[in-house]
Amino acid sequence: MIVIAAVIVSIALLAVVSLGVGEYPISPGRVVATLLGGGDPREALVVHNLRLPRTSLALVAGAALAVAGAVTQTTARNALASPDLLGVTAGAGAGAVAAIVFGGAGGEAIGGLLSLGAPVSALAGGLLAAAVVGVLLRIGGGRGLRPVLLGVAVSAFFSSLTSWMLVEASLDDVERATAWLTGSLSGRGWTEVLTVSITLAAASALLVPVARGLAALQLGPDTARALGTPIPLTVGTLLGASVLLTSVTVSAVGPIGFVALVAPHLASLASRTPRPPLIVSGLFGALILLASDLAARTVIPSFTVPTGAVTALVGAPFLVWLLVRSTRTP
Amino acid sequence: MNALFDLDDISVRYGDHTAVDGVSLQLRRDRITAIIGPNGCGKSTLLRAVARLQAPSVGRVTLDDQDVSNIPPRVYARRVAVLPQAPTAPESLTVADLVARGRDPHRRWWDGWSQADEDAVRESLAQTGLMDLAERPLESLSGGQRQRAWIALALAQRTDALLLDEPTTYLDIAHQLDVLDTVQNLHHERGLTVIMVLHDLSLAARYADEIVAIRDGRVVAAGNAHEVMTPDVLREVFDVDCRVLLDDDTGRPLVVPGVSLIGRKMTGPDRSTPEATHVR
Amino acid sequence: MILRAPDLSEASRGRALRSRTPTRHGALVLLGALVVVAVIAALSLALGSRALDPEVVVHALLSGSINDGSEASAIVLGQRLPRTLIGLTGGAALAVAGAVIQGHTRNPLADPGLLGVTSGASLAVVLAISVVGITTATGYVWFAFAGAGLGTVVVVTIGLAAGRRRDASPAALVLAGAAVSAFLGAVTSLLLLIDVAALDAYRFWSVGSLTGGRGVDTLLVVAPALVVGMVLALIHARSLDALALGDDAARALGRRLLPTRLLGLAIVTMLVGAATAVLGSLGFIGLLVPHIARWISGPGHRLLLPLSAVIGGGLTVAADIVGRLVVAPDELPVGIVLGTIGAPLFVLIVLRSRQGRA
Repeated sequence: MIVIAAVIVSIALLAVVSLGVGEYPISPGRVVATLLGGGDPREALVVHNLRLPRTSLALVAGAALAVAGAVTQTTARNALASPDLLGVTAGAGAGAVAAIVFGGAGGEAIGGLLSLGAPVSALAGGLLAAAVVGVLLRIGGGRGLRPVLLGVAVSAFFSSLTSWMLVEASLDDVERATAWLTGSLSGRGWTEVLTVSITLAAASALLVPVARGLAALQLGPDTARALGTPIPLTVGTLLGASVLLTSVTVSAVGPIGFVALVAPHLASLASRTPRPPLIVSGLFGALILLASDLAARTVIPSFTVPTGAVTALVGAPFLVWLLVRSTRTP
Repeated sequence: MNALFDLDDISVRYGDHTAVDGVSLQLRRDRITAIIGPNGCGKSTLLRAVARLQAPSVGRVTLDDQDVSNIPPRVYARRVAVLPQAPTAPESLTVADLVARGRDPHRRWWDGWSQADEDAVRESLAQTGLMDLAERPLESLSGGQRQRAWIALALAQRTDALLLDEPTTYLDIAHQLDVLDTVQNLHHERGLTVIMVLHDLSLAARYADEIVAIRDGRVVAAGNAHEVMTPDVLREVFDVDCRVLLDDDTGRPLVVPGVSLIGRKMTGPDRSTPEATHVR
Repeated sequence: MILRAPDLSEASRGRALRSRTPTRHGALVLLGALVVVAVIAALSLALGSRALDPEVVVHALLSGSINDGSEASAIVLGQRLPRTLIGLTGGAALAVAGAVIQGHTRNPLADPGLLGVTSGASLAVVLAISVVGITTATGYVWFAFAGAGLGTVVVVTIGLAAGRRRDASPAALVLAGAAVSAFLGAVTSLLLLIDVAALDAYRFWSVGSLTGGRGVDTLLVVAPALVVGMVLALIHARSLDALALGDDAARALGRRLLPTRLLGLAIVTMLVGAATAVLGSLGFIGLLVPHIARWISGPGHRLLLPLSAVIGGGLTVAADIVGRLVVAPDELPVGIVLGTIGAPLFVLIVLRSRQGRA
């Protein structure tokens, strides 16, 4: 409980700071005032129209990615089983780029285009990638690091497909797609926030009935089956929720990696549980992405670094550390 | 001098953990010596120190009065052959190709394949009974046959000494006997000095002339099978009350485990001195 | 107790044992591979967005000059011959480098591209061009070496640290490579923000392509490194055979590990650095070709390495031909073709290999 409270407080603080940072700096006190309804009209404009969408998106996207990661890691009983490592992110990316390249008329802003076509297409791509990895795992067995190996291959495949599409695309589409492919929270609006939030809510609803099944699965599939858990249904729902969360989030913000990997680990460390608790993971994910976004905006003055780059710069060493110490994980 | 290897106050430390603690030992030539002890007692580490695979933190190992750390690796490989624990090989490697690797210490990279190399490989294959299997891939062989192939590799090195690290641990009983019989025959025919780490006490008693019992990185007892395989020594080394019978066929001790003493108070010789019951 | 008397009469009877010297069989295999690759190279000269008849190609080759007025000469000598040469040599280098890395790490899944080594080399080159301002191949090729060497050291160190325990898997190395690649990708995108002009250079270097203006000039610059790397690799072959038996067994056979590792590192650095400088960051060749070669010739490195070189060159050029034909008149860079075909083949290797068990 303390942990949850601490994280929520941190998020609130960071959010306030984040809303105050930018070309037009606003002190935290005035940010709070603006949020509560009062304050300078100009500041209200900046906070509500420019920064609040971005900050909100960071929160929900971070939460969504983290929950997806926690679910996959727990279901697979594998500390490295994260959707971005399993190829889902690359598949969703290919789907979204397909929507951009084949679906959109040129010249529209990214926000408008992504409202319908891209999330669905990204979801299709993510599902396809997950299905491929799933089939391959059934053929070969899924112990240890093998799922992630297959994920590397599937990611490479979908990345190549994405590059292929870009070769064929018009110049406008290439620019937009490339900008999108770096994974960033810039230029997104309330549409994206809404999309991800709805997905997060829907996935949570999906996860409630299988929560007990998830706990049972942590004891291993044989024990879970002996306890009466309907394995195919439970695993299918869990992984389906994970793919849904990842794909839609990727379609909104581009492929931002490592949040789904890192947040659950921090959550289980903070809560002293062997497996990551879902809600706490979501909170940590929100915190991480918010912090990364803040860093992305402030670390180089007058430049906004792609958030995906920040998460990769921090997340990659973390993955390395996990690798070096985690050889006893199943 | 009868000792081939002389270990002079050897200690091997990894960080905080001391695997081998002040061992002084002489390993005689022309003998089969078995090193026994519980898991984690340091017996493999000790063998690796002799095999020059592990440098001791303190002390030195000498081979024929020469400090082994001063012997170049290739020269050492022509005098001492080592069969490491759980060896691995590429999947499609044939038996003959594996054994041919044993000629490496005798060849520089510009040397072609000589008649001496060919003879060594043939002889090694013949002595381990693998001539018929020479062109088969290793992975198609049984566990015992595979170990024999690795022994053949060691033979091809044409050394005086053969060191084996747990050569039988993953094998069925029939294969274990197969491997140890091969080793014993080679000892008789070629006068090979054999030093091996073994898990199974009765096999050690049956095949080895000399036995060294290790506990917590120290030598508890060293001597022939009858001297070392006594209830007192076994209690101290393995925390088990045993009965020791005599195998009429082999004339060697046969160990029958009795009661486990884990968690109970130990009685027995004082364990603070390193060479408590050094029997010669 | 079974007493096995040595059947020395068998030994002296000269029972059939395959000779351990380089065999006629091996030479025949190499020759066969060379013939196939020659055919592929010829196809590369003839095929493309404009298919040329064989006589036209031969005439252009014999005339020897781009400026003899014929369009065919311009195409054949100006475009297709350079890219064929680059593909043959770069592909050969990457294949041999892959075999060497696989030998040292005893990991059949190792590949300079997947491990991020090529990314490191190409990032270093982009750094050289955009940050340091070096534009000549002779200048930035050293950056390519540095990037390749550093990348190899980092990834292999991580992979070995992760694999230190007895039951750990070689797959850790691939993941270490994925982490390093992700990290380098992030650094690169940061770099691109600072210097937008580098975007063009980056685009080439990150995908792997036989064109893009590198040209035969760069190839001539890196040729010494390629040659030295290949020769050293052949000398290194027997050490690789010993390493395949495990570190302990290799040392028991008299190898010193540190010099052996350093030599391997030098070979990989030279070959990958040179190949990347010429054709960018190309993955999957180093992974797939040694497997194909091993399937044909077995694990002995004295035949495996030359065979890998030949097949690597051939596969790269073949992929380039596919890239030219599939979306004509546009072109798919070699890297994309190999990624699309290579990934499923990588999956096959993972599924087949017993080491993928964990």
